[in-house]
Amino acid sequence: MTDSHETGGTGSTRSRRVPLAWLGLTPFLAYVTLVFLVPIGFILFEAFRRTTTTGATRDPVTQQFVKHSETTFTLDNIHDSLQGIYRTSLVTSVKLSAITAILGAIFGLLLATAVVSSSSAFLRQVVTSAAAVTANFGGIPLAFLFIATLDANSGIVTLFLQDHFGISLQDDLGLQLPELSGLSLVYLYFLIPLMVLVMAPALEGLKPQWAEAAENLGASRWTYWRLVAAPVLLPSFLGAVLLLFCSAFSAYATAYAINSAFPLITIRIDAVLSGNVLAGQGNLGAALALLMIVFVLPLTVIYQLLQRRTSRWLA
Amino acid sequence: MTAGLGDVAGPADLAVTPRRPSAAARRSRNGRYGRWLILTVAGIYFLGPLIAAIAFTLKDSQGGITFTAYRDIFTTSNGQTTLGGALVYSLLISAVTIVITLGLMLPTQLLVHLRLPGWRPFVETLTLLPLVFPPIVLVVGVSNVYAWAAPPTGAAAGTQESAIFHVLRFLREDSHPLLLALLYVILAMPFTYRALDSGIRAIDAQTLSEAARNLGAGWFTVLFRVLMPCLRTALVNAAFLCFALVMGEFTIAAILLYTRPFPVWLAQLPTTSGQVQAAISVFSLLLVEVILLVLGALNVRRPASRKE
Amino acid sequence: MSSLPITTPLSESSFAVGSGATVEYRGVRRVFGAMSALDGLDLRIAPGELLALLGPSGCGKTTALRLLAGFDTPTEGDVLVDGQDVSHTPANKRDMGMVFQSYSLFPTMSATDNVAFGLRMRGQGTRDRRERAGELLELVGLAEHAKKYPHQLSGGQQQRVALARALAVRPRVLLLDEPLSALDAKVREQLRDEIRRIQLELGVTTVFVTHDQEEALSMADRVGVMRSGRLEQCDVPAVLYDRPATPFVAEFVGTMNHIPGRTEEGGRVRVLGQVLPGDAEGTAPPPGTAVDVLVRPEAVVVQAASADQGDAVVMVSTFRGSSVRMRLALRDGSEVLADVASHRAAELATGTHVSISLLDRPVLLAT
Repeated sequence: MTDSHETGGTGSTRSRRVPLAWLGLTPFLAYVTLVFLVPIGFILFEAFRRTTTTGATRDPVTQQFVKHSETTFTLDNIHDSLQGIYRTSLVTSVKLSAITAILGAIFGLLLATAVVSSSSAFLRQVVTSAAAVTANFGGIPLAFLFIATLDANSGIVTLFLQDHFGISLQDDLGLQLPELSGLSLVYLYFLIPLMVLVMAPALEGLKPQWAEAAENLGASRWTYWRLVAAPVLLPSFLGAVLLLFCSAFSAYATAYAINSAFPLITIRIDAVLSGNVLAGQGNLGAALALLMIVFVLPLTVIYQLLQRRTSRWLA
Repeated sequence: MTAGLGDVAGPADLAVTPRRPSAAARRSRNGRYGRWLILTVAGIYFLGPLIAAIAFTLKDSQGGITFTAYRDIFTTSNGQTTLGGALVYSLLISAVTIVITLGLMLPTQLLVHLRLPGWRPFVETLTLLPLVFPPIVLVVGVSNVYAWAAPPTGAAAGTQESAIFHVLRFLREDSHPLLLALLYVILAMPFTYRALDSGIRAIDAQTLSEAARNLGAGWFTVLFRVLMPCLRTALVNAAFLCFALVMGEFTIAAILLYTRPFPVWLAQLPTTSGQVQAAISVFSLLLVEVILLVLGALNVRRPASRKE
Repeated sequence: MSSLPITTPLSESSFAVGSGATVEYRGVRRVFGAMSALDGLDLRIAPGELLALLGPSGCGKTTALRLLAGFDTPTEGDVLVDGQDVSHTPANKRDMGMVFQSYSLFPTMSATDNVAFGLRMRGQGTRDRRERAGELLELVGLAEHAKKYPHQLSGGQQQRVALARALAVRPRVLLLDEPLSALDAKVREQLRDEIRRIQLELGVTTVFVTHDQEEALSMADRVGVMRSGRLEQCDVPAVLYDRPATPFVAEFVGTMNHIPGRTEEGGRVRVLGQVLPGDAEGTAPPPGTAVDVLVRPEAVVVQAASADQGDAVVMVSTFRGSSVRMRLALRDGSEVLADVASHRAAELATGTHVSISLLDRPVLLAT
C-alpha cells in the first residue's frame, strides 16, 4: 500500500514512514512489558532467591538493632514448595482439576450436541449467553449460590432431602460442599458451559454432507459418529479437556469463598503472600507460582497444536 | 475467573443465525428424546442452585417467607462500604479499564492490520499470554515487584524511598486503584483483542481506509470518522467483556488487599448475612445474563448490514 | 413427453455393473408446511440412462433427488426402484451412490479410505476393499493421490474421489447433486466429460441435478426441466432445444427472441415482413391473432444494409469465440438478439445498419 500523500498529524517525511509505524507499536509493547512481562519475570527470578538474616548489629548512632540479611540464589524455595502442605495442595489441585475436567468435558459435550442439534434459535442463544456468563463471571456469586443450596446446615437442598426423604447429603450421598466432592460439583457449573462454548463451534463445523454421505454409503447413525465425526472432533475434544483443566487449576475465588482452608495450590499461594508480603515468604510464593506455570504452560502449547490441527480439517 | 484459552465468545459472537438442522438430525426420533433428556437434566443442574438460592433468601426462621434479605441488600456493609459504594467502585474501575483498553488496543490493532501485517502473529501471541499465566500468578509477580521496590524491613526510618516505589504506591492507593485497572487491561486482553479483531476483519478496514484516503482523507479522519463508527459493535463487545471481567474479578483484588471492589465486598460481608449474599449473587448473575441476551438480540438484528 | 432414452450398449469391462436399475417417480408430492417443493412428479428413468434435472433454484430438482436418495420422504406418491417402492426404505439401505456439491469427503480419511468406506459398511475385508478402491481411483485418474487427505486435494480432485466413492459400491442408481457447481470453469468441463464417459462405461442409471443448462444439454440422455415443483418438459436435448413445450422451457434453455407477429391462414405467421410456417403443437391460434414468435439467435440472419433500407442497427456486439452475439435495435425500439459467425463481425461493427430476416423454418408461437 503505497501512498505519497502522507500528511497526517505526525508530520513525518516519507523516508521515516516505516520506522514510524514500528514506533506506533511502542505503547502496546511497553504496556505489556511493564504490566505483564516484568511481574512474570520477577516470579522466575525471585523463585530462586531467598533472603536470610545473618545477624544483627547495633547501630552506634541510633542505638537500634539493624538486621543484616543476605540474599542468595537457591533451590530451597522450589524444594519447600514440594513438601508438606504445599505438596498436598498441589496434588489436590491436580486431582480436582482432572476430575472436573473430564466430567465437565463429557457432560459439556453431551449438552453441546443437544444444543447444536436443536432447531430452536432461541434455545441456542440462551444457552450460549448463559455459558458466556458463567464461564467468565462466576466466581464469588457462584459460590454463594451453592452455599445457599448445599450448605451442610442451612442449604435448601440439604434440608429438603433431610426433611422430606430422610437422606443426609453428607452421610448418604457423600456430598460435602467444602470438600472435594462438593467443590467438584461447583466447578462443573462453570466448566460445563466453557466446554459448550468451545465444542459448539466444533460440532457446528461437522458438515451435514458428511452425515448424509455416510448414510448414503450404508452407515448407521452410530457408525457415522464412530468413524467420521469422532475422529474429526477428537483434537477439539482433547484440547477442550486441557482447557478445562487449566481453568480449574487456576481457579481461586470460588473455592476460597466456600472453604478458605481447602488445600488448593491457589489458596496456598494467597496464604503465603498475605502472611508476610515483604519478607522471604514472597520467594516461596514465587516458587509456587512457578510450579503452576510449569503445569499450565506445556498444556497450553499442546492445546494450541491441537487447535491448529482442527482448523486444517474444518477449513 | 478466567475462562481460559481459545474461543470464548463475546456478545456479538452470540448472534445466532437460524439454521435448519440436517434432515438426518431432524428425523432421528431417538435423538430427539435424548436431546430433551439432556436439556432437562442440564436445566435442573443449572437452574436449581439459582432457584434454591432465591428460596434461601426468602426463608424465615419459622419456615415462612420474609423479604428482609432484600430490604437489607442496600444497607449491609463489610465494614468499608455498602452495596452502592462497592458497585460504584467497581464500575469506575471498569470504566478506566475500558478507556485504557480501547485507547491502547484499537490503535495498535488497526496499525498492525493496516500497516504491519507481519507483526500480527507476534502481537496475537502476546495477547494470549495472559491466558497462559493465570491471575493468581500475575498477582504473585506484582507482589514481588512491590517487595523488591520497597525499602527493606528494619531499615532505619527516613531511608530514601525510591521513585519507583513512589509510583507503585500511588498506583496501589485504595482511593484510586489504578493498579487494578492496569492489571485488568492485561487480563482482558485475550478477549478484547479477539473482539476487536473480529470487528476489524469484518469491516475490511484495509479497503475502507484505502477508499477514504483515495478520496483525500487524512489518517485522523480515517480513524475517527470512517473506521470507528463501523467498529461500534466490536467496541461495545470489547467494552462489555472488560465490564464483565472487572465486575467479577476477585483473585487479584482480594490478594492485593482491596476491600471495596464488588466481588471482594460481597465475599467479605459478615457471615450473618448469608441471605443477603445469596440475594446479591442471584441478582448479579441474572443481570449480566440479561445484558448479554439483550446485546445478543441487538446483534441478530444487524445481519442486513453484514456482508455475505 | 417422449420416452425413448438414448443409451449405448454396455461395455464388457470388469467395471460393468450389469444393467442399471429403473427408477420411477409416481405422483410424488413433497410439501413443507404451506410450501410445496414438489407438486406431482411423474417420471420414468430407464436402465443405464443419464437423466439431468434442470431448473432454477427452488424448482424442486434437489428435493426430487433427495427423495430418491432417501434423505426425505414424499408427502404423497411413490418412488420405485426396479419396480419396488423404496419410499420407506432408510437411506443407508437403498444401495445408491451419491455425489454431493462439495465438502462430502470424510476429512480424517485418505482418498483410499474414503472410497473404501461404502465397502467397509458392506463388510468387505481390508485388503479387498483397498484393492477395489485402488481400481476406482485409477478409473477416475487419481491413482497417485490415493494416500492423500481431502485437504490436500484440489476441488476437482475431491469430486473425483467422491465419484469413485459413490461408484465403489456398484450402486443401482448414481445420484449427482450439482457436483460441478463449486468448481472452476475449466475443471468443470473436464469433469463433465469424464463423468459421462464413466457413466456410459459402467451403464449405471444416473440422475444428475444442475442449474447449468449447458451441462445438462451436453451430458444427458434426457433432460427434465423443472419449475416450481413441476416437470415442464422431459426430452432429449435436441428436442428440448428446438421444440420447447412451454414458454418457460423456451426461455430457460438457450436464448429466445420474442418478436411480435400476426397469424395468417393455414397456420402461418407474418413476422418482420416475412411469412413463415408456424409450429404450434395442438391447435394453432385463429388467423389475425397477435402472437410472439419465438426465434433462436442463430436463426436470425443479419446483413449489412444502407441506412434507409435497413431494419435495425447494431447496438452491442459480444465476442463469444466462434460466434458473435449481437444486440440489434429495430426501428420500433424493440431488440433482437442474433448470433453471427465471428469472421463476419468486422463488417457488422457497432452502429452499422443491418437488415434482418429469419430462416425459413417453422417457428414457435406464444400467445
